[in-house]
Amino acid sequence: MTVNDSILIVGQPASGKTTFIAQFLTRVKKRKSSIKLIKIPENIKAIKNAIKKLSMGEEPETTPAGENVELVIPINVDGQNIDIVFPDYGGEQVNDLIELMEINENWKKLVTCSDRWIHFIRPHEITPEYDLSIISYDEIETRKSTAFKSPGLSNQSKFIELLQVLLHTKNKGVKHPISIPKLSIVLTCWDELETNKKPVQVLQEKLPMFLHFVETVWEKEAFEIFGLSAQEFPLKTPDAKDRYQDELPENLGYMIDQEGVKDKDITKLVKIALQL
Amino acid sequence: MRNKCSKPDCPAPKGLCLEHASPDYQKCENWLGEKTGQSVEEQKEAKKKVQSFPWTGEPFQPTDIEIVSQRSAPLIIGLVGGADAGKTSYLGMLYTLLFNGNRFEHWSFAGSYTLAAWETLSQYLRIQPDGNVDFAPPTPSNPDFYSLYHLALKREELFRDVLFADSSGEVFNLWSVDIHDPNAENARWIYKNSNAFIFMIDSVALIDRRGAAKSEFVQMAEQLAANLKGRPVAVVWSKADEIGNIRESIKKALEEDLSQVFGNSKVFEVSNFPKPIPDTLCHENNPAVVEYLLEKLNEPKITRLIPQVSTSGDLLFNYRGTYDCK
Repeated sequence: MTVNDSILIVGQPASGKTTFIAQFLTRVKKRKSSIKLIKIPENIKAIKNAIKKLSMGEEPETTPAGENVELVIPINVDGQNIDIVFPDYGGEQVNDLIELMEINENWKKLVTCSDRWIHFIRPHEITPEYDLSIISYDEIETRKSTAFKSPGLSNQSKFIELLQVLLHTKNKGVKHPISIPKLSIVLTCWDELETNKKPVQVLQEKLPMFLHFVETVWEKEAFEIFGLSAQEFPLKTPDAKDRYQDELPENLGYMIDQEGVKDKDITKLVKIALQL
Repeated sequence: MRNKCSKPDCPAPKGLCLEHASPDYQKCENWLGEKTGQSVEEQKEAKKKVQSFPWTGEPFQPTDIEIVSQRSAPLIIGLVGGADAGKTSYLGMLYTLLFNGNRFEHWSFAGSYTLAAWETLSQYLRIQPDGNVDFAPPTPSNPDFYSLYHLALKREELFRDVLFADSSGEVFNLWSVDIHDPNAENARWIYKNSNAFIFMIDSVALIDRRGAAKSEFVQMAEQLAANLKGRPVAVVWSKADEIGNIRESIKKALEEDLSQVFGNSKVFEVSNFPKPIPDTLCHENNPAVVEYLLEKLNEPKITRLIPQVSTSGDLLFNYRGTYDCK
């Protein structure tokens, strides 16, 4: 079965999609990548603001909810010419998919036409839930609840539900191991974690049931887990902002490969996603 | 946000448009739709193009089973037990364990179409900010209340959709006294349609109500065993961290009765109140119950072939082919 090269990046609001895309384009433009840019994209509206903000040493803003802009980047990877289509959209649209449990025509097209999905997850934002399975009962008081609770979905269930709805849209069943679409799970804002662990270990700690789901449903060779810090450090202090303006955005950022090895070339993430 | 005219000083009365000088206010470019600024016509058009997913994340009703029955023959595991036996809390802990990284020994988690429902159950086992735990309130006892919780599980090439059927203990109490009770419709449905059962024995009820509780459990067990037709049962002592406080005579008598009723069914002790982690009653025995039933359900069935004996005197009907004759 042939795999197309259209990449769909999915992620919740503020998971770092736009920052990555902006850094990716800046790097290939400056030839700081093993990937070559064939020609300047015709329309960079999707990331114009993010590039500008980063060059000023400021954090890019999240894409507005209703925004839908497509960025086409013609690149050359190992001698092969590929058009990478980065659909940029407000992350709230991803939340809507799993909260309203419905999909519109635009998203349906994005999902069905892409054979490579990159799922952005910001693990630092995921805090553990303390419950009776992880805490000894000895010091706990119990009582009967008086009301039915209706919690929102946890992050873990949201990520599972998201992959379930995307697979359903693409008409992919889970009875047999999935080889297409290829799945790259990218743990973003890696610098926030301050860890030396491998990405898969972080995923196991933060979202064990999600990892269990992916390992069950996808073929072993059809998914990868990476770490990514597209910015390298937060831009909250004047010192950090100064440093960003001095060192320039294209020299900052790194990715962590499956073995936990740091690589300054964040564009390799796309290269590896294309090799899956 | 409701649709409205975006022109703040438009003096047109409600339902009319100044720009169009007519009731066609929806065609006015100042008429805004929700969030995106789409006109109503555009919104209607967009709505047409929206496709809903077949599941919602909430518990399945019997009519929802077709969502999964298209891909596999689902296995229904019915939870049977009296009021407050811990059926709902058992399911909550099962999901909570999976959520926190515990796995079945042989089966892998391949998703669920009732994630929101599972999350509601597990929410009751969370430690509240005041350090307390609020357990689930009693399951509604109206006879048309159905709660089916879904897990998709895989074991190498084998794929199973498993549905856990929960119902109120009061309904099962009624059913155990009279299986035709008009208020026990959902208990009847669970009994008729389940492929396997988890029979819950409430350890605390046996401590508090001794003989009276025992007699109710035996009555329910007998009713469950009456028409099993080979369907497996896991006998589960819930709240088993208290099992040592049951009077020995009561426990022994109940064990004997259950052994007579269910024969070789495996017995488990479970608890939602773990001692220092890992705790066998909680972390091992909870998932082991499901694992046991799945093993039983996937055992090869012995098929007895009955040779067809011809009873007809007609040569045409007695003809069985030429076999080796050429």
